[in-house]
Amino acid sequence: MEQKRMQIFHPTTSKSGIFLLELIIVILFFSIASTVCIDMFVKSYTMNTDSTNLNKCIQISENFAESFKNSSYSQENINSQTYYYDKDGFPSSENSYTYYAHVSYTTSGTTRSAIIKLYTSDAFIYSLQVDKHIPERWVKDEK
Amino acid sequence: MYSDKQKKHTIDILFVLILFGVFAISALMLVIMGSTVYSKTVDSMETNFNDRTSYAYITEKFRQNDSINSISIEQVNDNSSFVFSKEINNESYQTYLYIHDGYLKELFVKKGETLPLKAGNIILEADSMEITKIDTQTFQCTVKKDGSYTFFLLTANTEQK
Repeated sequence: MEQKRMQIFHPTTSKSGIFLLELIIVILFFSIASTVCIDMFVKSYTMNTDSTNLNKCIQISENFAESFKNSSYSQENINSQTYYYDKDGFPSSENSYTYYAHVSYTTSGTTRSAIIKLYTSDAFIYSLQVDKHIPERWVKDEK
Repeated sequence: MYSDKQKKHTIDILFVLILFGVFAISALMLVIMGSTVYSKTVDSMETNFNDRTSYAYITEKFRQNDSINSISIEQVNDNSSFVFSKEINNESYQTYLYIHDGYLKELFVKKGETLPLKAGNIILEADSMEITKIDTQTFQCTVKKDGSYTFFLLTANTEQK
């Protein structure tokens, strides 16, 4: 009698165990898949933000390069300067900027260079060096 | 004696249902998160593409036509437009870069002719364009598309009226 009871009871216990194991495997697989997906989403978001920042910074530095190439010698400030820009690349105030540019100037012979470095509030994004020729007499005047 | 069927508790079914619910909600959230990230990425890529293309195209045209008094600004369709003038076989021709019907378009016409706005070649989507002349050589151009602005400066090597 007792033996028969055990025979009946045993298969049922085993079924629950298999079901539980199946659940654990499914949840484990789901967790791994979710982790991989979330990691990819975060990477894609970061790359997207980086790409937008790089795009804007290139535009800002090219705008600066254009005005540098066109500026006359007398208008130029030879000291390093910092300029602030909003998210669309328009000049903005120091309190509400998204990007800022640090510009330094060097003169070597008759070549004047501006080195433009673009940053967000927490990271360096892009750097551009622009060279232009200046007449020799201006260099002599400066000396 | 035990019956063949063991007594089923409510918790057995409830547990499976709750687990299924949690599983389904998690999967749904993952899909929603994925679609949000994807749509943001696509939007951003489109904005970047518009930024770069409008900048590159207008700059290229500007440089191609950089000769004395050949670059001017005109109002077309309530928007500023670039007009590049050229002499071909003693005839004056003009290339217009203007906004029409939500697109940046380009049109090459003989000077003095009526501008058939619809006939222009579509360059890319854009809502508006504003061009300001800063001095005789520098122009400031702002192209707007879906609330995003592309702002750039263009400097000519020659003087423009």
